[in-house]
Amino acid sequence: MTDDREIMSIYRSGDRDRAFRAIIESYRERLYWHIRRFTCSHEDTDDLLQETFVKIWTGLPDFREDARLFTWIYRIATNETLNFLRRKKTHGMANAEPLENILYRKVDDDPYFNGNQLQRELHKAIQKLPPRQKAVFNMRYFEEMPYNDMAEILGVSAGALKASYHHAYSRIKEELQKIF
Amino acid sequence: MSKDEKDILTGLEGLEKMPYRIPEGYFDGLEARIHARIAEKDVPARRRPLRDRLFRRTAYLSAAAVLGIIAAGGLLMLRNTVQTDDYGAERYAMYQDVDIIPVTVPESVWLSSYDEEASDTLSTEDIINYLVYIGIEPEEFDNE
Repeated sequence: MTDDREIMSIYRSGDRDRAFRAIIESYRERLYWHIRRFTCSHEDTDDLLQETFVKIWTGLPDFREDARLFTWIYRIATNETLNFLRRKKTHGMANAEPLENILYRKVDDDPYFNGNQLQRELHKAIQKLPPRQKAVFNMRYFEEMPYNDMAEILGVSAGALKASYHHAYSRIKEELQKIF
Repeated sequence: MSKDEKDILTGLEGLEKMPYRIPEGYFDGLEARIHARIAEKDVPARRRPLRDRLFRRTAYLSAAAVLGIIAAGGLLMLRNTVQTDDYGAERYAMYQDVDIIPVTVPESVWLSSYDEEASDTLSTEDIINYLVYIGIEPEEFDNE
């Protein structure tokens, strides 16, 4: 795996294709899981992941390095995913079915699920969170991302993120304690 | 949230791991699919064929011509209906008076605008004319 500094030096040397290949190789798995925690579906994740890389490719010439490559890439992936959820929510309103219900059901129906009951309930409880709170919880709990990085990605202060995470954590714990 | 405090979310090993499988070989073909998508998105950015561009230009010109005709017609109608004299100026002056007269004495608005003679009292002639107007025969009101 190539680190960000190396990727940027390849890019600066003018080899845009090789830099892009290095980005795909370095970020594909991390971004896959980052997106999948929101969508609860391999197919939606695949589509969003490809779209994210297309956006990275088209945005690379404008990337001025005032942000770190890592936060820039994660911001694209997170925005892409949150927009997708927003579109789904609007569509759900037309069908009179809340998005949370759809995602909740997807956890149960996912043919690729191979965890235990507690994991299943944890992921179902996460689906009940509002999208941005879900982003905060996922990035902190699963990816153990520092608050400062999250602040750069989500454009929110670290203090607000801590409060948001605390709130999400308490809600999920409460949900799980009802069952276990 | 400190991970030192043990609770249902921190007490169990492996809860932070993702409980999903990825289809076998998924990442192997990902790069090719991304490049295919990039190539696909590049297609609409190419210059459209000449026939399409001409058709589009004709459509814009037609729309502009129709709008021009409508605008010219509207201006012509407006020119024919606009009054050049001071029609309504008198009434406008009265409304201006209404604005400065206190609303607590509304009758002052109307009484001040009436001709004093006309608003004083009704004459016998006025009453007779009114009775005829509503269909009462002269013989009937003569008896009253």
